[in-house]
Amino acid sequence: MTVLDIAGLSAALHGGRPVLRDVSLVIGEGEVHGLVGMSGAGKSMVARAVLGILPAAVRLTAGAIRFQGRDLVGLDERGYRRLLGRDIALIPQDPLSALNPSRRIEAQMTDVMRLHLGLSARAARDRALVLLNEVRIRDPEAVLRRYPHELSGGMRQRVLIAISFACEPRLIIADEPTTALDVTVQQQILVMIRGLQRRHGTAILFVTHDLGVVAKVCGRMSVMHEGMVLEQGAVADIMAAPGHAFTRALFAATPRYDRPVEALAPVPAAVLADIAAAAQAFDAGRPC
Amino acid sequence: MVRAGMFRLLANWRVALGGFVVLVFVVAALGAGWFSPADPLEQDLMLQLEAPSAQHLLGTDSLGRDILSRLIHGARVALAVALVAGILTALLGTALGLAAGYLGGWPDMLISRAVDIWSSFPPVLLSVILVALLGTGLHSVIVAIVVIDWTRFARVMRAETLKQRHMDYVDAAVVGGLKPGAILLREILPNVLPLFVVLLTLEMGIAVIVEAILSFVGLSLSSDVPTWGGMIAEGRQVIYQAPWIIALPMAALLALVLGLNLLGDGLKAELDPVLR
Amino acid sequence: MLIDARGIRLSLPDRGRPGTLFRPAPPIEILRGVDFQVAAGEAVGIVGESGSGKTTLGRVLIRLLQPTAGTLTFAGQDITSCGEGVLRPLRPRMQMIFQNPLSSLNPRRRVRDIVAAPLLAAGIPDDGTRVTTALSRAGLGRAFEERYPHQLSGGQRQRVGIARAIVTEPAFILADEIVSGLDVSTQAQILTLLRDLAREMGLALAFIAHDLSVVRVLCDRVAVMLQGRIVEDGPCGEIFENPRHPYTRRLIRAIPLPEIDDGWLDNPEAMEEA
Repeated sequence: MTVLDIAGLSAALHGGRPVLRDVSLVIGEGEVHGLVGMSGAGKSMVARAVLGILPAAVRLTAGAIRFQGRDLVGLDERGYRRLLGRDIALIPQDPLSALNPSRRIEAQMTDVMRLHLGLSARAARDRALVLLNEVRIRDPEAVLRRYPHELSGGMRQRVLIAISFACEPRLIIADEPTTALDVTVQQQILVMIRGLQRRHGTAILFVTHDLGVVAKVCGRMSVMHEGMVLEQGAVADIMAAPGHAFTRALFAATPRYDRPVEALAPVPAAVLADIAAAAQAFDAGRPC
Repeated sequence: MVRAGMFRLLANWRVALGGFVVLVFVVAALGAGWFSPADPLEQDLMLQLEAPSAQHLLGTDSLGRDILSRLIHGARVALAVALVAGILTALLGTALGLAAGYLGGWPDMLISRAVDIWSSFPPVLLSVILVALLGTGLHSVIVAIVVIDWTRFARVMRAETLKQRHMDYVDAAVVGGLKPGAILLREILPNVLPLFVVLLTLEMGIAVIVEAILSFVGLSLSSDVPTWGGMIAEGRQVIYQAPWIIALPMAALLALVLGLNLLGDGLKAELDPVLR
Repeated sequence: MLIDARGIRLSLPDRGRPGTLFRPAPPIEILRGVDFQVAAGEAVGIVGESGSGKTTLGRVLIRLLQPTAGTLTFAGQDITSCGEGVLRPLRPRMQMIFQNPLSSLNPRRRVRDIVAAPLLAAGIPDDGTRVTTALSRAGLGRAFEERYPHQLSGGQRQRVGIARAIVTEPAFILADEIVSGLDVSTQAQILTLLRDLAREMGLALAFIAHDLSVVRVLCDRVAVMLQGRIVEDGPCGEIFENPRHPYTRRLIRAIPLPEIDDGWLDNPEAMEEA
C-alpha cells in the first residue's frame, strides 16, 4: 500500500522564483526512500512541504501530497497537529536544538504519547522505557532523569529516534539525521533506524547529501537538483548504473578511501548548465 | 559610496527620526544667540508666569524670564555635557574594556573587579558626593559622569572583545604574524566599533539625564546659567499656577533623550555589515 | 623533518568545571604524548573523532597553543616554548587554513586586505601582484578583491582562506577540517585545488579531518588519533588496506561507501549499547 504519494509538486518563493519543479515520488509501506542532492537542491523543501512547515516565503503552486490517500495540501494547522507526531514523525538534523534544554528527557518523551495516545503519566513512562531499550540505551531510568545537555550527541539522537517511533507512525521524515555525528556513531544510529524501521514496518523519507548513507539504508532513491527530481529508482540499480549525468558526477565528486586521488572530480559546469537550462525551460512552461 | 551609505542610513526610520531630533537640538544650541527671542537672564517682574503669547511664545517663568530662550540656552549645557561626558566616558571605558578582554590574565582580573566594586555604589549618591567634593560647575558634572559610567562601557566592551578574541580570524592574524597591537587595532576594533557607537549615543542620553538631576538638586551650574534641570526645579514650585513651566523643560529632556536612543537603536542595525 | 613533534602533552583547564577564587579549574589532559612528523613537501592526514585531540594537536604544531611537555621543532629550530617575538619571523613560512571560512575572515575587511595581512605583518613589499597571484592560484579573479566575506559563497570563502595561507609562499600549511561544511562538488574542487597547489609549490600539509575518505585523496601519510594519542601512523595505502589497530579498523568499517553492501548494517560493533 502507498503511504506517501507526492505528485507533480511545485513551489515558488513569493517573488515567483521556483524552488520545487514538478516533484513526484511514491513511498510504499515499510519502504525507505532516499532523497539526495547538494545544499539548495530542494530536498529539505520537499520534507518541509510534507510536514506543512514550509518557510513563510515559500508557497506551493501545484501538485498534491497524498498521505494514506488523503491530500495534505491546504490542510489547516489543526489537521496537521492531529497528524504530526502520531501518523507522521520527524527525526531532525540537530539533536541538540531539537530538544528543549530546560526540560528533562522524561517530560519530553511522555508529552507526545500522552497527547496522541491518551496514555496516563505512568503508562507513558513505561512505554518510554521500552522505547529507550529499543534504541539500545543501557540505563533508560537514568536517561529519563537527565537534561539534554547531560547527554552526548549520539545519545540525544537515540532519544529523538525513540520519540519519533513513540506513536507507531506510518511515515517518518529523517532530515540529515546523522550529519552532525562522528562516523562510528553515525553507523550505530543508521543501524538502529534501519532495525526499528523493519520491526515496525515504518516508511521513511530519508533526506541526505551523502550517497554512502543512501546506499546503506535506502531501498529506493531520488536525486534532486534545482528543485527537480533528475533520477529515480531502486538504489541497487542506480548504484550499479546511474542514468543521469548529474548522478554520475555526484558519484565522481564523492571521495572514497578505496579509490585513487585521480578519480575525484567536481560536478562539471556543463552538467550544471544543462540542468539550469532544463529548469528554465520548465519555468517557461515548455515540456522538457 | 559615502553618499549611498548616507542614503541607506537615512532609509532607516529610527536613524532618520532620531537624527532629526538631535540635529534640531544641536542647531538650536549652536545658534542659541540668534534663535533666542530674548535674553534668557533678563527679568521682567511685571510679566511673571505669563501664559504663552505672541511676545513670549512659550510664556515666562516666576521671574518673568522668556522660557523659550531659557530652553534654547539650556540645550547648550545639555548637549555640551552629553558630548564631552559621553565621549570621555566611552573612551575611558572602551580602553579598559578592550585591555581586559584582549589581554586577559591579571589586567582582566584587576579591571573586572574594579568594575564590580564600582557598580555596587549607588550612582546618584556617588555623583552627589563627587560634585560636593569637586565643587559645582560644568567640569565637576562631567567628571562625575565619567567616573560613574565608565563601568558601563568597560563591561560591555570587555564581553564583546572576549567574543571577538575567540573568533578564528584573530587566530588567523596571529598565524599571519601580526603583533598584538595591530590585531587589537586593525582586526578587533573595527568589529567592536558599531557597539561603541550605539553605546555612545545611549550614554549621551544618560549624561543628559544625570546633568538634569544634578541641576535639579542645585549641584550643577550656578543659578545664572539656564539648565533644564534648574528649570524643572523652579517649575515644581509653581506647578499649580503654571504647569507649562515644568512641562516644557521635561518635554525637551524627553525629546532629546528619546532622539539619542532612537539614533542608537537604528545605528545598531545599520552598522552591522552582516545583519544588513 | 620540517615539523618534528615529540612527546607532546597538553593540559587545559576543564571548562565544564570552573575553578573557584582559591582553586583554579582542574586541568584535563588533551594530548597525552604525541609524536608527529611532517617532511618537506609531504601531506599528512590527522584523523579522529570529536574529542580525540586532533584540532588541539594542529594548534600546537602551528604554535597557537604551547605544549605543557615535549619538544617541537620547525625546520630544525626549537619552537616548543618560545614567545611570539621569536615565532613572528617564522610565521610567513607556517600558515593555516581554518574550518569555518566565515569566522576566520574578518567580516569588516575586504578580500584584498585579508589576503595582504600576512605580507604586511612580515614586511614583505607588495604592489598588489602577490595578492592577485595568490587569489588567482586559489581560483579567484581580481573582481573578488573588493568584496567582503559575507558577499561570497562558502567555497569562495574557503578559497580566500587558501589565498591568505599561500600568499607568503610558506613551507607548511595546517588545514583544519577545511571541507567539512561544503557540498561534495565544492569539496572536490577545494581538495583538488589544494592537492595541485601543494605539488606545485612544494608545500607540506597537515590535514585534519574526521572523514577518512577525504584524507585518502589528499595525503601521503595518515595518523589516527584516539583520546589524545596517535594509535596508528603510516602511509595511506598501508593503513587503509591493512589497518593494524582495532580502532582504525573500526573507523574504516564505519564509513558508508556509496555501494551496496548488506553486511555493513550487520557490523556487531554498531550494535553496542550506549
